Amino acid sequence: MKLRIIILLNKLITLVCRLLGRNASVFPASLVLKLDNNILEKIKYPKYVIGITGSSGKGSTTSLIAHILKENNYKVVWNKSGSNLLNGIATLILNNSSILTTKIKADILLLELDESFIREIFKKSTLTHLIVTNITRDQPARNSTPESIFNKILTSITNDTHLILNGDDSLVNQMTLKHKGKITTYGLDKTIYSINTPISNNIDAAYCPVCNKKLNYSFYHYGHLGSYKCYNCNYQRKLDYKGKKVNLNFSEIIIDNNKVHLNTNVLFAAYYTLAAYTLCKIIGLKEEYILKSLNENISKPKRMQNLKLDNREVIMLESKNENNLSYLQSLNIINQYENNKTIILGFNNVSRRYKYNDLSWLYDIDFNILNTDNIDRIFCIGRFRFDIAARLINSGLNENKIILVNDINNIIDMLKENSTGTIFTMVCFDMTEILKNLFLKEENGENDEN
Amino acid sequence: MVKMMKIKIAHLYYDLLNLYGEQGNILALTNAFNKQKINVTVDLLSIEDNKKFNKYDIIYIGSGSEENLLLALNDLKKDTQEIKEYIKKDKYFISTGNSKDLFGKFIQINNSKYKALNIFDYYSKQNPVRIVGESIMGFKDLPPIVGFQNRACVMQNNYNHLFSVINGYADNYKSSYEGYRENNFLATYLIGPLLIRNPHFTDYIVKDILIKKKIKFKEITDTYEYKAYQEYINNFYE
Repeated sequence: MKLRIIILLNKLITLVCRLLGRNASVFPASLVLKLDNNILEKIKYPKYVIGITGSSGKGSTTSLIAHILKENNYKVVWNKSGSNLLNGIATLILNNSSILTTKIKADILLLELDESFIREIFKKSTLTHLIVTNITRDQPARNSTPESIFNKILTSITNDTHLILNGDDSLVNQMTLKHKGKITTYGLDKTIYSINTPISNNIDAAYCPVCNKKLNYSFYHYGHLGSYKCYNCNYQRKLDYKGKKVNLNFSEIIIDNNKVHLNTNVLFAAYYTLAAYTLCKIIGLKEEYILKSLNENISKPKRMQNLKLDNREVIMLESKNENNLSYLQSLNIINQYENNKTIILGFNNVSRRYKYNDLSWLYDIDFNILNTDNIDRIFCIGRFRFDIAARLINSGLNENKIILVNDINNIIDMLKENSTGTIFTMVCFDMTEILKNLFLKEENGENDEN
Repeated sequence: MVKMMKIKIAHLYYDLLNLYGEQGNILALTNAFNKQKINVTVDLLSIEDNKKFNKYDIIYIGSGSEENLLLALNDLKKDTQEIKEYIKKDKYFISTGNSKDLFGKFIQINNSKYKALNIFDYYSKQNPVRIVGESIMGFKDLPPIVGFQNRACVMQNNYNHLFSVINGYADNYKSSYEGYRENNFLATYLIGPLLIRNPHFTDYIVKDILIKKKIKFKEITDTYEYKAYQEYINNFYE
């Protein structure tokens, strides 16, 4: 009885929040969990409870899977808002549970999960499937080491959970040595973008987990993701699902001999598309239906914010502070743009989660990939602008290209006078709004004059 | 022709103790010498490499996960005597983050006690919670040293302290000092590329090495590293 009252209460609080115009995705459960913090153990779950976790890419993977499943008439409950901690997930689950039957009203519960907090959300046997996209150094002030993230994920599940692992990630793949339940791995064949040696000495999980000898890579995709083998004990990457012939110009990849469309032309998209494909195959969806959802009824990813400065396009990317490989992917998006460009980098605070300003991650990002002729200028903004400038020069970038912005209010004039090409901003949450407003103000000001 | 002077740096366990932007420290040293018109060679050394420490002017070792630290410890044991001799010769051995734990008597972690290299008398034990936070340290008459800590252990040590703590965490909760110094073995729990963020500390080391080699040191502070340091002090300290 109490369970039903709590479900009802959660729905009522959500309704009130919405009526008041407040964000209702997290708050309701923060109240009702106080009445019973084991409530999620009492709910009746559907046949499939699928989690997606990892240091990056979990949101994109989750939304692509949701797209395929919904296209194929599954009733899916999923955390579209990206709230991936206890209160967000509990709010979602309770709002989608029947008051009468206390059962989640869906065929599939699909959840992006924060890698550090899975065990605080569910008792161990709840997840039927768990995808691990990658494990990299990420927010070390909170997560300490990649190995500690690895242990947190592994201790959140039992052998009843079917693991779907990115086998290219030499750390994630170590789960194959420890998990006794079902495992399916996926990964990418060598691509035209693969590299033979890492760009710098920032690689995780470089040694064999079985015999501690150094792993030998035949190629790297980026970071520690690639094809590895231990020559001593033969431990190596083994893939059940392999993506082949990634072509970012044509936005496509070959999976099971079929062309599959990538909804963004970055390597990350090849990973989340392959992960989504693999998961859907595992739960029994027919290949032709998966392909139809991916190739014909294309799901559009979240668009990057686009503005204008005079006739120049302004593309705003999010700076993934404290996650070197995620940050590198954003740099790659900028790099793939072949025309003349100007970049704005910076932040006032390192993190939105805590007050610490650890700068070590700046030296784990291979900024030297920005050492290209088509970058006209790089503007450094925010309280740590000199640290960024120092990092860029330490990466071999030409000092003349680097411009320090001491007063953010001058940036529009400085951009106009002293830079050319498309403008990419890759700044942290605290600077995005400020910049956006400055660009919009400039746009509107011009409109007034006309 | 006069043979060009070269500074030889070893980056020890570059692929294992590389967790917190450690390569930045190598860049900082290299650039600081290059600014003085001195060439630098950097050797990357790791497990099973023949290390021959004596040929280097500076050996640098950084921080890693607890798992990787123990791998390094196991590999480094055979070189203990050579490290002792290297330190006796007053050469620079710089250790940042938890690599400091390797050189003491033992490391107690994950409910196990591991014999460390036993070069110094201090020892380290895992703390119930991880120690994470910003730090400001005093070193001789230099302006304060800034940095960040992220570690599992606390260290027990009563002498040869490297830094006095102005702000942030000391070796352990009772101490007001952090780090260990014997001759030019400098070890600190600070990460976050220490030598990039503290160009005055880097120059202190570079100057000392050059003066001992009878080479003049020229003070150059018009760099982004010095500006970044000053900006941090302005925003977070003064």
